[in-house]
Amino acid sequence: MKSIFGWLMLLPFWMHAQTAKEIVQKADSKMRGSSSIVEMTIKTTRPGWSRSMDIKAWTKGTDYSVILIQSPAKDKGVAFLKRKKEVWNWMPSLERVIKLPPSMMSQSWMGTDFTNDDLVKESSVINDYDHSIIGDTVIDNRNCYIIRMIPKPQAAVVWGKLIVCIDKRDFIELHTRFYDEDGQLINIMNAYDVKLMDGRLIPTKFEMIPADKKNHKTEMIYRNVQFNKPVDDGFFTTEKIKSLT
Amino acid sequence: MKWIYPILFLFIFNPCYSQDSIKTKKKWEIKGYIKNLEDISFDHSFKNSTSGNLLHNRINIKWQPTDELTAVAQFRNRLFWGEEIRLTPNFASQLKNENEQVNMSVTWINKPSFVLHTNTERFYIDYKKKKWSTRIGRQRINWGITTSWNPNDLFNTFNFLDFDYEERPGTDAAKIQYQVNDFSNIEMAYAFNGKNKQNTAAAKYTFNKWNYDFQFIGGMYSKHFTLGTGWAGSIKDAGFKGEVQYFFAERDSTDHLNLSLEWDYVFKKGLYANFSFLFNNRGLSVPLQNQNNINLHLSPENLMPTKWNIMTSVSKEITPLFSANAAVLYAPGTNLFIVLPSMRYNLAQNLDADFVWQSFFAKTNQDFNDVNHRFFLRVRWSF
Repeated sequence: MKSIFGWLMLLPFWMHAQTAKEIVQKADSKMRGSSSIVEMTIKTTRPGWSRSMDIKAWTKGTDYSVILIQSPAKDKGVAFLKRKKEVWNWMPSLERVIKLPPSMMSQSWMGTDFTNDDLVKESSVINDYDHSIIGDTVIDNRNCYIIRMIPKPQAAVVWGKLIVCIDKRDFIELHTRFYDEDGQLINIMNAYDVKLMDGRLIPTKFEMIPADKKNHKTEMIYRNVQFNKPVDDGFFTTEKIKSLT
Repeated sequence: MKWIYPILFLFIFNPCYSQDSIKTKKKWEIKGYIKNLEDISFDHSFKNSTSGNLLHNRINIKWQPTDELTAVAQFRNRLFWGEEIRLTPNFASQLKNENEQVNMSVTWINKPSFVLHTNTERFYIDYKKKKWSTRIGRQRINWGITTSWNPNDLFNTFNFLDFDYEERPGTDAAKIQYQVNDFSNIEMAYAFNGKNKQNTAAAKYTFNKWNYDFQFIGGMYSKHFTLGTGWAGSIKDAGFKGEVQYFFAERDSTDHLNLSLEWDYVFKKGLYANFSFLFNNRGLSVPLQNQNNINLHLSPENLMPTKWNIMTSVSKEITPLFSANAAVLYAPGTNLFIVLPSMRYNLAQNLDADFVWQSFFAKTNQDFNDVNHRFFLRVRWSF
C-alpha cells in the first residue's frame, strides 16, 4: 500500500515533469509567433550619456524580417530587410537600396549591445544547446527554474554557456547570463514589466548589461506587440521597404 | 461609457483591421535638417588659404492622401558667404544642377560675397496601382549598385567628393515600373536633360537569383546607344558588387566603357572595409603637366578623369557616438593620389558634428607633390 501511495504521490510530478529543453522551448515560443510585429524603443546607456531609438520590426517565420527606424530624425525611414541569407538596407536620403555583406550580420546593431543576429535571426536556443535544470530561484516574486545551456559540439554559436531563469508558471525568461568559451561572464540580460500584450503574458522591458563595463546598458522596451497577424510574403521585399513611411 | 467597449472590441479583434498593423504611414510628413559647413582650402604646400561658409537647410515634404498616391516636394536652401564666394567669378550661376531642364531655383540675394539660393530638389507625383507604379516630375532615378562609382547610374551622375550633397541631384523625368514578382521588376525612364537631343531614355530589368541581385540596362544616353549590367551578391562573407556600362561610338564620338568592381567586409569588432576599382577606357593614364588642368566634370560616360582608379576605405565606430572613416584613392598612370579622412561625433540625439579632410597629391614630371588640401567642419541638426 505504502509503495502505491508513493507512486501516486509522484504521479503529478511525472505528468508535469518537463525536460529543461521543453521549458526553454515554451519560454522561447512565448516571445515568438509564426509572425510578429513589434514596436519598441532601444535605449543605449554609457557613462555620461544615453541615446534612444524607436523601431518597428516585422518577422515571419525564420526567414523573413523587416526593421524600420522611426526615430531619431536623422535615421527615420531607414529600413533593413532580411530574406533568408540576404540583407538589404534602404537609405531614404540616398533613395537607394544597398545590399549588405553577410559579415555585417554578426556585428553590433547601430551602437547597441545587440548584434544584427540577435535582432533578425531566429534564436538557436533550442537546437544548438544541451539543457539541464540545475536549481530554482525567485525573481520578482516569481518562482523560476535555473537552467544551464551548453552548446552542442558542432553548434556555431558564440557562447560557451548560458544560465537561464524561467518562470515556472508562465514560462517567462526573466534572467540570463551569457558566458564565453573560457567560462567568463560576458553579458547579463534581465527582463521586467510583465504585461499582457496581444493576449500573452510577456516581459515588456529587457536590459542587456555587459559584465566587464561599468555603467553600460542597452534596454529594449516593447511599446506594442502583435503575434500571428497575417503578413504577406510580398511585404518582405526591397520594393516594400522603400515605402514604409 | 459602456457603449465604447463593443466598439473597441470590434476595432481590436476584427480581422479586417489586422492588416492595418503593417501601416506606418502618415498623411503628411515634414522633415529635414540645418547644416553649418565651414571650410578652408590650402593650395600647394599650404601657401595660400581660402575659407568658405555655408548655411544649408533642406526641407522634405511628403503628402500621401491615399495608399496609391504620393506627392513629394524637397527644397534646398543655401546661404554662402565669405572669401571663397568673393573669389569665385559668377558663383551664383554655378549653383544650378546640370541635369535639370526646368528652372525651379531662385537666387534671393546675389552679392559679391553673399549668396542666398533656393533650389527645388524633388517635385514629383508617384502613383501606384497593383503591380504598376509611375513617377512624374523632378526625381532621382538611382540605378547605381556599388558605393563609390556607378557606371549604371545613367540619369544623375554625381561627384563623389561632394560629401555634403548626400541626396544627390534630381532630374526632370517620367518613370514607369512594373513589378513582375516579389523580386523582379522592369523600369523604364525618360529624362529631359536640358540640352537639345541630349535626353536619356533607358530601361532596366532587375531580378534576384542565386543570392545575387542582377540588373540589365539598355537605352539611349544623349544620342549614344548604351548597354550595361550590374550585380550585388557575396563571395563567402564578403560583399561582391559590380557595374559595367558601354556607350557605343557615334560618327562624332568614340565609345566609352566604365567598369566598377567592389568588395566589402565587416571584420570582428565592427571594422568595415571597402575596396573599389574603376576602369574608364577614355580616362587619362599618363602624368599631367599641370595638375590644375585636371577636369572633374563628370558624366555617366566619364566617372573619373583617370583611366585606372583604386579606392580603399575603412570605417569604424569607435564608440556609439564617435565614428571614423579613412579613404585613399590612387590612379596609377596619372599618379593622382587623394586622401579622404573623416570623423563624426554625435553631440546630442539630433545633433552631429563632422570633420572632413580632402588632400590631393600628384606626380608632375619627376616630382610627387601636393596639389591642394581642403578641411571641412560641419554641424548638422536634423528634424
